Amino acid sequence: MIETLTTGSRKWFLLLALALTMVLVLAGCGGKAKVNIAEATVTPSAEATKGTDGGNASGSEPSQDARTIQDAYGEVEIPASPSKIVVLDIGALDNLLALGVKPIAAPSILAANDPYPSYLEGTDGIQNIGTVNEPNLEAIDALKPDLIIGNKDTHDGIRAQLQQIAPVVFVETLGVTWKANLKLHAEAVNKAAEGEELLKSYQAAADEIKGKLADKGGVQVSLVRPRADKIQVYLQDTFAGSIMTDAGVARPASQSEEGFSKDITEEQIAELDGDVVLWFNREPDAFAKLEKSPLWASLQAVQNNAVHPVEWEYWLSGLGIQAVNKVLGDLNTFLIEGQ
Amino acid sequence: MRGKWVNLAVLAVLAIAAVMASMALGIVRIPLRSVAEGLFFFNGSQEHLIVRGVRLPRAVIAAAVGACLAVAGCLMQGLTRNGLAGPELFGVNYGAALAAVISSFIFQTSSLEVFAASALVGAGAAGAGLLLLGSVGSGRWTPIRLVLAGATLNLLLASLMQGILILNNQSLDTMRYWLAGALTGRDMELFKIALPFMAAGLVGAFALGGHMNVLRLGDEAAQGLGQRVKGIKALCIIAIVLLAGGAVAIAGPIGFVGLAVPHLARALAGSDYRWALPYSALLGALLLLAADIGARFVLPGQEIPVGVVTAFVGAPFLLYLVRQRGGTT
Repeated sequence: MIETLTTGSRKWFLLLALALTMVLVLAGCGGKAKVNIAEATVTPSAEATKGTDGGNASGSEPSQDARTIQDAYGEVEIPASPSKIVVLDIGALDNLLALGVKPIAAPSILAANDPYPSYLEGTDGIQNIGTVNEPNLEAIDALKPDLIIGNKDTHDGIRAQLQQIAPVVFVETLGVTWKANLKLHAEAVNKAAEGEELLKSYQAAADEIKGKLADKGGVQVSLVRPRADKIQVYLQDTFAGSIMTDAGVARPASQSEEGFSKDITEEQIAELDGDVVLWFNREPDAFAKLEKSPLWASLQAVQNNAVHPVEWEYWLSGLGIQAVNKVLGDLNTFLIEGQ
Repeated sequence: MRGKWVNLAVLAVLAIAAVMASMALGIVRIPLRSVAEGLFFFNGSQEHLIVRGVRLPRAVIAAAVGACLAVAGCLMQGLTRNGLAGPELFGVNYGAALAAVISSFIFQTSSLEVFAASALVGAGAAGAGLLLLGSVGSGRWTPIRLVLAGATLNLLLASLMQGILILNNQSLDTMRYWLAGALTGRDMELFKIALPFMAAGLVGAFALGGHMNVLRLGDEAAQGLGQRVKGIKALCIIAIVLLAGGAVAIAGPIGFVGLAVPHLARALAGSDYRWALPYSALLGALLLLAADIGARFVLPGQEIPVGVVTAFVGAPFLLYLVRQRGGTT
């Protein structure tokens, strides 16, 4: 059976070709997973739409009191006071609710129809439209929204389809850009002043913590996400990291570099040390495993009982102003009251 | 005969050297002297904690898993008389993986112990399924029949597993690394769960060596020589399930060790299974230890799953094999 494969060089060549194909497929898998449902077939009609009404959404009536705002792609014309807003990520959901605007639909973080993060209030009646990574376009279309808010990083691939449903406002990305996102979200729902107000009170709260920490002579905080296969250290250029910087929270020397995160292995657990260790994750049991390591017990923070779990829903996946304030609250609890 | 003993001794020494290297090399540099001190004069320092708590279990597990996968592969290739057979082909790996995925889905856990226990159950179920499939209808367990039954079972289990992973992002996130086959973060407790199965499998496999030699002559000849062919084949399959199941339970489905190593072993030991099986065990241990050390240095400051390394080493070897030897055993 196998011998036949070697009889001709042609078959040998076939085999090589097959191997090459697999390598290419694997290489393709390495890219970022993005929603790209039938984009190739939809794009031409999207182009056609652009030709007739200059890029405006065909689904909504041209309104007299339209505004123009600047999003991640350029100028977008949106209704003066949109009332049926669909958000495509939790950052936008969080910010809009904080601004007193209830979107009609939002996605779940991990699996469709998962409840919205429990730290958010007033999410009753918001329709679920799939997940952040895979929003259900048909469900969005059926809701006939007058504004869609998403982000370029996650939803670039479906922007053309979304534009056919309603005007689309995209922030650049989520996480460390949360301040700019809040401003754009506030502008999109015509509440720029309220947005500024929220940022101001955040700054005041952050400054207060900064002052108190300075009085204590600085506290070094290690921010850790234990995962099933590795330990992820969250650095400055993350959502939580940027808030910690604003609040004057110092990081251990091994964690004060720039960047999003770095992975360490069990052997490097010593790098996790600090006056306080804060950790979050969404993998059950991953922390229990870390805790079992003999190296873990050798950390100062562990010996001083200064290891605290924090809620991943707002430290990791909240990404809006309410999550920001919750993070500040935790910092206050664990670094100032708790010490 | 004497040459074979010498070779075996050389391989054993190399395997021990690889275990030492595995304890000395890694992201945190530890001199060999500290490794030895950590093992014999433990003083609780950071280095010694790493040697004892992290690297020693990992090296022992790599050696055991490598040996089991290679011996399982050697048995498989003898049983199916197919040089492209490996433990992957019998559905044992995917049976184990499917069970682990299901329990991660149901119990919402990433606990390696839970994965190990369910993987063992899954491997056993896949083995039982294979024996059943092979027995359906009349006729004997011909090599081709076993291969086809195994391949079918394997595909079925693989697609079920993919289905569950697609349904649930959380499981996918948790299982991704496990499914590539990895040795990081495994401790002795975990090893103890699978050890009895692996040990029984190894003992069984070595005891079957002589019978494998007879079986290699073909079913009719073996029967003519008085062998209870079906019984031996069933024992073989059970040993493979124990070996591969135990290995997957600890480390996830690591590929290519079971395929490539038996060929090397036969090249060194000849076709006598009484020699090829222990050679496979030592070579398998050596290969996986080496691959695991490699996995620590491919990306600076990071580790990649060892299953990826073995696949990278194994794929070109597979092509070479098909070209050079035509896969005959």
